Amino acid sequence: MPIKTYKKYKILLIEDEKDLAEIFAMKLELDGFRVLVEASGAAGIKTAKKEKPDLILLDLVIPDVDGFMVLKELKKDPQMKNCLIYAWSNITYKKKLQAAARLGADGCILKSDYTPTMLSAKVKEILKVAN
Amino acid sequence: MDLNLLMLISAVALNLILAIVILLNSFNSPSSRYFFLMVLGIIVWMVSNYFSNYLQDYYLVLWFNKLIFISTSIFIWSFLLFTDYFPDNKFNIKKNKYYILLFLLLVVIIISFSNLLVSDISIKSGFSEIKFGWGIAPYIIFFIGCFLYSSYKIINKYFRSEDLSIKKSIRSIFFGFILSTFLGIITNLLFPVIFSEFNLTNFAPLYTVLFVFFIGFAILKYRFLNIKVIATEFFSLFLLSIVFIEIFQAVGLMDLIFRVIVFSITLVFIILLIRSVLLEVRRREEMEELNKKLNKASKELQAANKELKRLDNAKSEFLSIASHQLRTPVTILRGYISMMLEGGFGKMSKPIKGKVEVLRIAADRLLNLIEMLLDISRLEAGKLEFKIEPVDLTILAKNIVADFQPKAKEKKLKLEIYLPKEGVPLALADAKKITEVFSNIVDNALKYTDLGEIMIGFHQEGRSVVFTCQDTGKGIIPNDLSRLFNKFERGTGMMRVHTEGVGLGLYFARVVVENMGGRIWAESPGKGKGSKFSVSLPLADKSKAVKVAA
Repeated sequence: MPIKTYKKYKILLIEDEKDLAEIFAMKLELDGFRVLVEASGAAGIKTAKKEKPDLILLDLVIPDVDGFMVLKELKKDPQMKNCLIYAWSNITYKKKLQAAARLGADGCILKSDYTPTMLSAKVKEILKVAN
Repeated sequence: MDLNLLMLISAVALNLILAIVILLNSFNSPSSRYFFLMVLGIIVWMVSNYFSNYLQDYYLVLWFNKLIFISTSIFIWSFLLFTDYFPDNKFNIKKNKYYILLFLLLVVIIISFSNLLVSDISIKSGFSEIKFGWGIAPYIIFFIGCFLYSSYKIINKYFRSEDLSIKKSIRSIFFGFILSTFLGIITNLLFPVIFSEFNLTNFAPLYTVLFVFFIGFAILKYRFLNIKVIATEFFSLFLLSIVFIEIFQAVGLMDLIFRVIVFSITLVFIILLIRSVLLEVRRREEMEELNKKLNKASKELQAANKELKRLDNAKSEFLSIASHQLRTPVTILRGYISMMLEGGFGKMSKPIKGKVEVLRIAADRLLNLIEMLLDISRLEAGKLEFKIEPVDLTILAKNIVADFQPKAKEKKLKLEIYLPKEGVPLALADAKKITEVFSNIVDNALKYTDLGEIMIGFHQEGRSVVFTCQDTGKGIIPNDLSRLFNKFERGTGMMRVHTEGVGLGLYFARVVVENMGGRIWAESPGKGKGSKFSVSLPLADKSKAVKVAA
């Protein structure tokens, strides 16, 4: 059963759009990943530090602490060094994406380019797990 | 002629010439008019001073002494108004203040005229002794008051002004004042007191010339006039006054006639010279005015440019937010639709699945439309970037055909792709953007074809790969062919058939294709005879270029 294959991978989705978070989390869970969802920057930082996920999909435009601050906070924490953080956003403004890269984002994913299935495939590619 | 008289005449002449030159060159400026009045005050003072010491008649000496106080009052009063106006030359004195000052001057003049100030005199050899009445008190208060106020005014202007030319002019006034006072102290105080040398005191009237010269220079310097022009006028008038004095020294009628002729010729010559100089001055002023306007315009342009940059940044920021906000709901739509189609919410019946598929295409089209609108905005803002790389256009076209197949089936149209046997070489393009362009073309073909087929094909033409999309639809009239790729243009009559298009698709396609170094065009035999859209893109590998058949 492939489902068990990915159970050890923990993914944190920081996304304030409830419906969007729900459908993408649902697909990732269906594909066997452990998925945690947070809707704000502050909660995201807290959960990330506590759960130490393998991958964080971080929306850049989120309430209270914005995505850039979350990125900065998590990247400076040595305990988070094994955690990959991908900017997960609909922002295409180059300056903002460059700012995210400077803050240490491991990559960028344009939400509108991905359906849940495509995202799941991308996550597998990022985590280097067999598709 | 004794030395004192010679000095007096020279000083009067020089001061008068300077004052006239300056007044002529800046007649419209109130500060130079008050300057002129100030110089007149100095001249009258010098003349009165001379006669009050050298005449012997009691009444004449009394009146010349009174004139000393009247002329010095006028001098200090004009100096005050001069400093008030200088260097702005704007009417920046309140009328009330002006009338009060005028009233005070008149009071001081009346006091000076009466016996209240100079109540009596006694004539000694070479000078006259004055007996003062109580009127000396208001005179001193008036004089010192005006002097302190003028000094305050000019110092204040010096420190407040940011204009370097104004600062320079004020420095020139200070310099004139300090130099003439300094020389006065040396020759009229140090030499007589320390060396008992009195002869140098005769030079005193000339120091007023220095004072007048530097103030005049300040006025003209501020007005950016060429000092050479001023010098010409100054020496012309100087020459004229000498020639004029010469007339009075004529011996005999013939000599007088000769001197009058010389004076007349000099006068005509000088009038002509001054007129031409004035003309030049006016031209210079006009040029300066133009220069000022140019500088102002340049500053305004700089400010406008700054504002444009700010707006440009604001536009980029807006585009970023707009794209984020527009994409998010479409991402949700596409997410749920794809999950439904994949059976994430349970198995769907075939008809429902068909309708959800329609939803998927609509959502994809919406996303494409959003992307296109944002791309056009970015393109126009010069912010759209292309990722040009070798691309297999046939793969993109196959995906597009697959995507549009349900719609074609719905309209009972044949949508097919024909590939040449020898294959299609890679082209240089931005895969994502060229997909949008091809999708637009195929979508249009489906929109405007009701019967028949749509054929997608590829072929190589010289150094380009050409994509073609031929349909059996409504066709395009010749007039429309040239306008089709303009912004907000749609074919005549097409508005009635399809109202959802905004007329941006082909404009976007043209701009994108041209940015990739390619070309897009349309052909149609006429109305109702179908149309063919072609896009040519550069070959990725130039060595695969083929010769175009003539």
